[in-house]
Amino acid sequence: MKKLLFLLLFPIFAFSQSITISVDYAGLIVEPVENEITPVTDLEIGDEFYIDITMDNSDNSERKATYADIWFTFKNDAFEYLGVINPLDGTNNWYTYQWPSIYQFNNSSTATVDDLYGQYYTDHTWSSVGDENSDHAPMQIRTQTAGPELTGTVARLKFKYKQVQNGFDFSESVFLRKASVRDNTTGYLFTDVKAFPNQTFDNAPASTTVTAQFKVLFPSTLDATLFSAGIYTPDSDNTWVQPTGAIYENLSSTGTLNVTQGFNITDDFAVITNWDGYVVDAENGDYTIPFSEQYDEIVTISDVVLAFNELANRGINMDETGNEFNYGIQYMNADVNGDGSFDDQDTYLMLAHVLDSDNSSLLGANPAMVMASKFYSKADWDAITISNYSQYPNGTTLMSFLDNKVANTQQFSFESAITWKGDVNLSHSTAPPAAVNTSAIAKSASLGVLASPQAARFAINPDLITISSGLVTELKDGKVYATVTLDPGTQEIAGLQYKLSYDNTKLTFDSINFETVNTSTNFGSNKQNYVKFGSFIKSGDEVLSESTKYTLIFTPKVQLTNTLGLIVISNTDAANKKGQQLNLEIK
Amino acid sequence: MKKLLSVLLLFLVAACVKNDLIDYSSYYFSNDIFETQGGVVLDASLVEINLDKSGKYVISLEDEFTSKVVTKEQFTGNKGANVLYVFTKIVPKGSYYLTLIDKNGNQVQKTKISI
Repeated sequence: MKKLLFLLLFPIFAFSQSITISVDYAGLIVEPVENEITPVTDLEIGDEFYIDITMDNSDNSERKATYADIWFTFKNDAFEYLGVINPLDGTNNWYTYQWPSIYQFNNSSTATVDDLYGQYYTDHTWSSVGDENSDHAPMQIRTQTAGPELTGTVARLKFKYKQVQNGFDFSESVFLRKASVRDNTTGYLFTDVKAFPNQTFDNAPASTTVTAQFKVLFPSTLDATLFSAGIYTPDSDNTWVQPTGAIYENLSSTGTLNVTQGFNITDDFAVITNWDGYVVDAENGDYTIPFSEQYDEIVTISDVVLAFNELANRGINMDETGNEFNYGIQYMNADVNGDGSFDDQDTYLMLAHVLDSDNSSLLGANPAMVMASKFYSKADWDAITISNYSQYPNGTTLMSFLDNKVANTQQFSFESAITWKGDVNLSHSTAPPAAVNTSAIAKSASLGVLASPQAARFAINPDLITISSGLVTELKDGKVYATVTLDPGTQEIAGLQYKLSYDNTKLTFDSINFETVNTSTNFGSNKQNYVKFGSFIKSGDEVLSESTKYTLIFTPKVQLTNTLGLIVISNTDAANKKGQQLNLEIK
Repeated sequence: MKKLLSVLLLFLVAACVKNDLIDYSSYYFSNDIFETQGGVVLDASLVEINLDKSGKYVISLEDEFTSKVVTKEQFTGNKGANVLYVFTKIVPKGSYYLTLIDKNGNQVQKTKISI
């Protein structure tokens, strides 16, 4: 009976002998501390380390593994192969070969992936797909001995982590594919050869899993998608260039940009944000809004009125400040000539810009965003006050420097405030922190007006006092007339500004007639597809009343019978004598 | 011969006259625009408006959500069917009320259109 049982079980014993092959991390090639292996989770880009190919025979009492032909692949985009060490020290025949990274391993249709014998002897294939489509480089290790068994580490591979893009897929960086193992003495071919315990090496250096997002804190008055940005780093010549893989694209509608690609925690970085202005218009054709047009909406008559008021309202001894301004950044933006102080020269330049006198512009001869924009980290932005603003840089820039050298952080999120030279009422700037100018607040309260009226921005304060204007166009005597009237309500209007856009494919601007009070300074300039016009009263008792009227005259370029839609008011601005910005609606 | 020359010259002059008529053939709302709700109006569309009496009228486009008037025209209408152009190239894309008001400020018609 025992004999029968043995005979029945013999085939199981006879074929239960199995070979396992594994890929195992074996420490840095040069360990910082002798006899201590750096944990695999501590590996970083640039580290050189060992990967061992290890073999184990479950029962070598009768058959020994003395020949092995092992194939694996490694991701050569992530690893630089530095060579292989023969651990048997010359007591065996040894052969290795690295194939070019143009092949793709296609698993057998019948064998499981970890069945290295099955993969070897059934219908696996290698496809030549080209370097661009192949993530892996194939490698072969063939070794045999005359006596000692191949066990333990049969090959010690040396690799170095290459610089890769953040988010690189390190899974299956090394992958055992197939193997043939024999006992040379008996000629026995092992049929149970499994990848175990580790068929793959998947470690991802921590720095490559970092994500970084940049966000400009746009006010609602700016369209973030009209701006583009990208991450930059200084090269060896100290020229700012984009790191490999970094993107440069339009910001999202919420002002965000993914800056993960190319980002790390060791180099210096800045995000450069610039004006793009490109508008997709499927119906009428794409077009680009020049930055100067955007800037015409940023610095307007209400900025000028507020700036004049701040200079004028300085107390009996003309030595007070902050009676109109609530924020330190207002002084910085009002210093448009950049000489370090806000004074009459600045208000003159601002007024000249709004009036377009002699083509004067705060942008100078180069109407680029870099001439007007300023960026501050959110922390700095919140820290700027009336008493300390002079300690902060006030030059115009496109750059937001990133505070990225923070260890043990995986998710970086950078926020940057945006503001502009001349944007005194902060109408197109990031909302500042709550006002701390108690004197101005107290004054506002005594006047029965808003708590922080001067910096009333659409984004900050939606409860602006509203006044209205009327617009009507008419085709008369072969000309197109656009008439703009004012209904100031109870407000004493000191400044008015309109942006009247017109279809310049059908109209040519001729002239503008002003009907205002005598002390009003009127301005109007044609900008090819819009007319900027308005009025400003610097001092005195007069205000812009309901008799204020502007008549703009156009000549049709084509035969017209009516004008609906050829002229639109696309932006307005108004301020009262107190310097309060007003909401000017068209009715 | 002189007659022939004159005819040829006439054709030549006619050919040189600036012909900047807009091609309005593409879009035409053949029914009263105010009888249609939610129509999409493209640039240089023709819309038909039926008036009970002749006189001065104002027609305007008012943003549905902000209630802001973006453009407004005064025109002289005739009793019966009137055809007007609506130009949209510089009007921001959106949903608008197209409103017709008579010379006394009374709303005569109102409809919603998309641009």
